[in-house]
Amino acid sequence: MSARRRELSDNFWLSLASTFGHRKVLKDKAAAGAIAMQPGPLAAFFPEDPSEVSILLQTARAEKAKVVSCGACSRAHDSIQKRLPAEGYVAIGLSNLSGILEVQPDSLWMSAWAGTTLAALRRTAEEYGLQVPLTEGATEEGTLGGWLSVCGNTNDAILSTPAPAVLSIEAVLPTGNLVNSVPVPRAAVGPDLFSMFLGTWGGFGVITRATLKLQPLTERRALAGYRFSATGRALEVMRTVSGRIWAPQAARMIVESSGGKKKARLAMSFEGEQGLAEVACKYFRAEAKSAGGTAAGQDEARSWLYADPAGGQKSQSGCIRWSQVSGLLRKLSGAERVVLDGPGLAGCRLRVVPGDRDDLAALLDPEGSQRESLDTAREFLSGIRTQLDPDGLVNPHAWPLPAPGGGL
Amino acid sequence: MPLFEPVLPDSGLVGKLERICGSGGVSVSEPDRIAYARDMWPRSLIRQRLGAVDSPPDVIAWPQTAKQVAEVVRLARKAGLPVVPFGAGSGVCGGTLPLRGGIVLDLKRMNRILDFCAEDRLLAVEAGAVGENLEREVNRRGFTIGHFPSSMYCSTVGGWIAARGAGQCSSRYGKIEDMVQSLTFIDAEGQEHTTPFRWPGLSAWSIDPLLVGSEGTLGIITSASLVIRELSAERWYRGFKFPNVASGVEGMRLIFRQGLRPAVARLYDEFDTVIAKTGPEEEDVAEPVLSGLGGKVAGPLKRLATLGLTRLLHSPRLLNRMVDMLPGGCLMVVVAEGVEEELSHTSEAVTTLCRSRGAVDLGEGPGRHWWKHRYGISYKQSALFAAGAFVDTMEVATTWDRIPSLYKAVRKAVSPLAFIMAHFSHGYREGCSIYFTFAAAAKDDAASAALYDRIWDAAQEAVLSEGAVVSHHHGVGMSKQRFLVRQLAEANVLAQAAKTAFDAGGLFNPGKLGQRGGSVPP
Repeated sequence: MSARRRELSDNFWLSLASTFGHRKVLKDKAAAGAIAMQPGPLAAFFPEDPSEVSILLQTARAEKAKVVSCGACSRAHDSIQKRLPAEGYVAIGLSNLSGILEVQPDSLWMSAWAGTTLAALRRTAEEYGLQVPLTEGATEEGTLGGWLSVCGNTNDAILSTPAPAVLSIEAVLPTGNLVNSVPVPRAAVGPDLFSMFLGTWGGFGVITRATLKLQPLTERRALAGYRFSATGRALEVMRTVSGRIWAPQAARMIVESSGGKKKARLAMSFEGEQGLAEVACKYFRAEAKSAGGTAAGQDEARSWLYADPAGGQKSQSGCIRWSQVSGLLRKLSGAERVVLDGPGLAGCRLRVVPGDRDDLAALLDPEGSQRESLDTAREFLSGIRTQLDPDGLVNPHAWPLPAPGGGL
Repeated sequence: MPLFEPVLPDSGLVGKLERICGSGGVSVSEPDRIAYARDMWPRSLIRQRLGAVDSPPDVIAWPQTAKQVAEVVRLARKAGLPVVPFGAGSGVCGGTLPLRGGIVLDLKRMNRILDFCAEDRLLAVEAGAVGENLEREVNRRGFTIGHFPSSMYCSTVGGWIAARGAGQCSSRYGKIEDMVQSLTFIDAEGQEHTTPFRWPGLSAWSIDPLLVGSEGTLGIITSASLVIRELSAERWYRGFKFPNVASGVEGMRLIFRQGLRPAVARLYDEFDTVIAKTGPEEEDVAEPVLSGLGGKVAGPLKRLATLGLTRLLHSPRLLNRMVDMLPGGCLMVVVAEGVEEELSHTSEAVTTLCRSRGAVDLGEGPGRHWWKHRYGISYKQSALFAAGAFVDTMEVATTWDRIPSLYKAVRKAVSPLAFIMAHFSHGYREGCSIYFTFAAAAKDDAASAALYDRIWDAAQEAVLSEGAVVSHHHGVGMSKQRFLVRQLAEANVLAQAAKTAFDAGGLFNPGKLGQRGGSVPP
């Protein structure tokens, strides 16, 4: 039985209309038409500056109405739709809060409103000979705010570790407070409070603006691929290279069974300026050759890196430490294909094809310690949310927080 | 007769603590309580010269295990006593001052390596491990932590994390937040938690960024899992002399923009350059120079003191003008490390970029010299303190486009009050840190404390108005918290929410990071 949709009070409508005029507030069918989510919203509101977001959140709080923010509202992922409040919600569409505010090409940053599409960010960056370090899953029609809300991290090529993709964030808290961080690469100013906005699906408020890191447009890209008859050797090359030279732009190892024996293909791509890509790739080639790898052609290597490794099949994924990979590969003897990518200093991402195993999570976390740690972290974050939003009104679909890595 | 008595709500509390930490693991002695009433915050040192002991702890405990920490926290909670975690006391911001007394938890006995996995490049270590001891042990196994604060001999892993610190090689290895993979901490109810492991490249909310930098206010960090790197077989040292600060900053920016990752790239402004020695040939002149105050500048300022220039500090305007008339030239020290292929590429590219901005290659002398003396005398007192003057440092950061105006604004603000010099370090693709050093003197210690506050007010006002961040790696402590509160503005609501969620009762390090009761003694 579906829950009954609530009705918003006359006071709510009057309050918003008197502040903003009817033009900016859509009701019922008009709202549903403007916001592509199911169930559709009770009302939709398209703010044009952060103070309007703040007023709306305060008004909704007084009404005890749930609020869901969305970026371009062009589409909504199933995992969000399933969590939308059945009793209805007020939607904040950020498509009017859009545009590039400032670009500092020498300092490699760009600030933009949260509703700016990733395509617009990319185009603007390219005009300056720069690029936006977007991560996997970022689509052209997606928005800056949406991307930061579901992801927000990038792999730092210099440090080979994850780092925020932004220098600063502006957001409106459920309390209505407009908060800003200082745009700076690193600081020591107490807890990094603004980290709470990254990857938490808007659970701590609505991101309205961000200062995004940029990179110089890739001058050169160098890639290579090798076949290995022994998976252990390929794995060691991937591990060694990932920690000792500039982080690869992409790296992928594909393990397949052939005649009862496992074989591996490993490809890595490096990018950068002034010969950096070639230096890193040369290092990879030397390591791969000394480990007994047989060189593949450039096109082959490219397809290993960028073609769908699951070949259209369903896959399951998780993360794993280097020291655990060999043992896990033995346990996954029935898998058609195992793909390792996204290498970091301590481990990498793992995908299993086909993805019909029901024991992968247990294999990756046999003692359940990671799951327990995640639950604890969720509890602390949930405690913070309770302070800011005791009635759980803002982006309630974010709670409980989805597991990291489970972005859209 | 003791100068002051500990205020313990429960007369049996010391005995209970001894049952937890062992009989040698607890002290209420006056010397210990005086020793733990301060860290290396210069203002504390001035106050100490006045004979003031502003906020002694009531009791000091030295736990040896996370379980003991948890028990102490539960006991403190029951007794209503604050708990302040303490590493090696090298902080320069007053972050460990027990403002409301209570229990200081010195974690140095918790210094074990819990796990070491070469294959995963992971080290799990207890929070009380002292940097240099740990680095040596990790080196013995063929790795490096990559975190080298100038307080390396007198700071702990827990302190690095609590303050969100940076090492001198952060351009290659990152700040401590880049190294932490997971933390274990004791919460305000005395429960132990381990945070989820941080995976590469994924969307990842985490509570690590809240605990790192929390300065002991959210929980007691008892151990950490850190990424480590293979030791570099080769190292490249260099010095370049740029025509001026502007060309040097531009050279530094270009190095990082290109994705190069020298471990060290430090640019000294004109006066810092004059003081800095440029090669091994000068090593017999005096104390190491490019070192830090109470730390960072104790060497050069000792030389000032030796030369009788301390008196000049009473006329900072004059001294700063004299410095402005110095012949131009700014030294940049570069140290690179890594595999042979990277080193070769980096050395060529750095040299080309520096020359393109008018720099003269000084050879490897300055780099080698800096490396040899890189920890300087962080653990010694500055000679200027002995001479009745004082020194302090302020490390702030911003993006490259704002660096020149930030440098000028802070110099302008501080010049009437103190002698000031600076270096630029901790480069990133988007910006860097400026490390200012102030030296000043007043007629007596009471006047010194007042002048000290005026200098900080002037300097941090300039930082705020330039849109820079109030601290890059020393942390907040007492010295910057009033400015942090202003910088956070409405985001103080977030800070308060985090504090309430982790420590609603205000048990941990009260009065810090904008929490109530954090006023500075007169």
